[in-house]
Amino acid sequence: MSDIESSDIFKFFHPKSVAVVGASSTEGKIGYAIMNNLLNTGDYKGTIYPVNPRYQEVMGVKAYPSISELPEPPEMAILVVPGKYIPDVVEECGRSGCQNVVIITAGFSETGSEGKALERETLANAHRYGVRMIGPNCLGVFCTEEGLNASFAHTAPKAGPIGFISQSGAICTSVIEYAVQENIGFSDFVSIGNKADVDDADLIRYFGQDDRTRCVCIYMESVPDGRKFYEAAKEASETTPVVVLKVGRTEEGAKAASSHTGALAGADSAYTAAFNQSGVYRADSMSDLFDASRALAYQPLPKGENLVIYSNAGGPGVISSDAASRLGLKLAELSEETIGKLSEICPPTWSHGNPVDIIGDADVERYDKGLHIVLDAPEVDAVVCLLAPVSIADPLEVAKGIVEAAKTTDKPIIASFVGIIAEESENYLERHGIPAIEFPERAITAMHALMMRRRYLQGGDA
Amino acid sequence: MSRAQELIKKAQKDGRTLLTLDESRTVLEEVGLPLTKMSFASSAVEAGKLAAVMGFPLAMKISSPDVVHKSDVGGVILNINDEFEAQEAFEQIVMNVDKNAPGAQIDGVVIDEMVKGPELIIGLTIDPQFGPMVMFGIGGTLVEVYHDVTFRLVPLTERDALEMMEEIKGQGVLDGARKMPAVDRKELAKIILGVASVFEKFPQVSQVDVNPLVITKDGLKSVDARVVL
Repeated sequence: MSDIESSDIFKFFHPKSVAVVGASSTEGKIGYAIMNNLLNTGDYKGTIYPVNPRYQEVMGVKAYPSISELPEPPEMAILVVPGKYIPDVVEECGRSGCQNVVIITAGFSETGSEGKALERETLANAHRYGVRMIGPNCLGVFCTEEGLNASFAHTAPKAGPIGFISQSGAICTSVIEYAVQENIGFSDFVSIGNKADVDDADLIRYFGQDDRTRCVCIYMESVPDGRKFYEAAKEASETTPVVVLKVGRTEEGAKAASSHTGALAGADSAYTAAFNQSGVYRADSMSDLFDASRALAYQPLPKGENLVIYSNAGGPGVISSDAASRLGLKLAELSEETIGKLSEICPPTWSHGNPVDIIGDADVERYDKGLHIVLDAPEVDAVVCLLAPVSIADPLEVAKGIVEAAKTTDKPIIASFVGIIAEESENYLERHGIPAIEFPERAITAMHALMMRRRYLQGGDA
Repeated sequence: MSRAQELIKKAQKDGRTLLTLDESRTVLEEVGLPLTKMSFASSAVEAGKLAAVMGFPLAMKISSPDVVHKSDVGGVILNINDEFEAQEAFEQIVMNVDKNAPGAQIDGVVIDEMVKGPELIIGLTIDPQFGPMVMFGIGGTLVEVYHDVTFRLVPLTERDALEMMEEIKGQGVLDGARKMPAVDRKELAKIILGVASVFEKFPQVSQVDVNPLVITKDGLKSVDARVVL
């Protein structure tokens, strides 16, 4: 058994059997949606056990009155029964030998003191039997490798290298929608709700060990244990980049601080410190979160800091160089030799510098040749490829050229075909692992994430 | 037990959470914080002699448990440049305080080395979620207005301390902006790590302000410090 298989998180994503407690045949119920997803949206090969005393079968699958009456303890149980039954069901899971429980049901600590008490009782029962618990108040879990969709989302994410964790179920469904269009794929996808037991730290550690996950991507409102998160992130960062969108930056109200330092330490200062110290890339927006995660998951790290902005137009180039300067990225200084080579294929009006503007009349051939010249240049470590749509250069052909060029180098490439979203050219790039982002400044953010990761691993001698 | 540990124990016994300047200085001196020279005089003659040993310019402040706002009662004199001025300043301060705060107990005066230069801050606090943290940034009385500070969790590495210096907007002052003396960043990192080690050496401490930490041509010097238990 490998390390990861012995992790108590493993079976949340790779269970050989799943029980759905509160499974329903009535369309519109959550117990129906979960059964439907398990049966119909993936190609999950494990055994599915609907549990509900009111049914003989659910959607053609034999149902059981309770967890303890199943022919075997399920490796994972999804709970959708009303909150008041949850502590008992968790106890029953523990007694019968089921160690992994996902509680979809809401109405716990997020609602007030009664809910808090119910959550404490549930957690105490879980602890008594060594049961690990995701939720309550969550959307569920996905594992693309197993074709497992144990959630009530209406659609499932595609397979890929990103491990996703969200405190908000609503963000999960939005992210799936977005990611499907942008060809962003996931290894595992978790909605963790109230984090009563399993929290970000547990999952970060798990993803850090998981070979399929090349980047951990997190939407976070708060963490239950700051130090635990910090230690886990620091450990995982050694092998796997972590990107976090941490929201709720608003400072706490006036507090009785007896020092300047106490007064200056807002609620966000500690998060920022923990992120900086553990190599976490902090995203400021949902677009940052995915631009950074895509770059880190799909592209190699640069070997140095020298970036080239390669473009067939001036405007996007300037937007990019402004963004690069704002983020403290260094533009490569091109050698005489590189400038000479570019001059041979460009009209005399080309920029003769970086951004490399090969001029709007560039056809596919010039775009291709120029790209090879900058990628081959030893003074260049990374390239952002911009394309302003023009009739003379077919975007799909340019995209194919970029994909071919990428095969000849280990330098990272981020593309922005400015204004183009989810068209053939963009899809082609994305399906071949080149992040294609509709606006140039966002492509720079993606590159920034790669550069910051490099600096972190280098030990900060930037 | 070190002198600082004794002072902390004593403050705890007295039910105080705020250490005096003297006690705070003792604590921070034990973790390697460079301090300005400071001495105490109970007569004009003594003040003159001590001043001559310390060098100039100096500042002098009343030492009295009854006076809170020292400058309001004429209890502070700055820019003392020789031994004679030091004697005069002592007498002037005692006279001012007698007149403006009649009946106040006068223990003597504190004589301070006067330093000038860009001001930094190093602080410690405990976050309810993440535990002990160290702060570094631009100091002075307007520190809360500029809010140019950054944090790290404790313990931290030298690299963390060096990164903190790069994170503040005003980092130019460290390089010697406008002919000011530049800071040895490695030395400053050592001081930050030293202050952070207060949490480990003195677990009773909950907050520290070293403000200002002044950049002088002779290196960094802490002028004022506050330790809270």
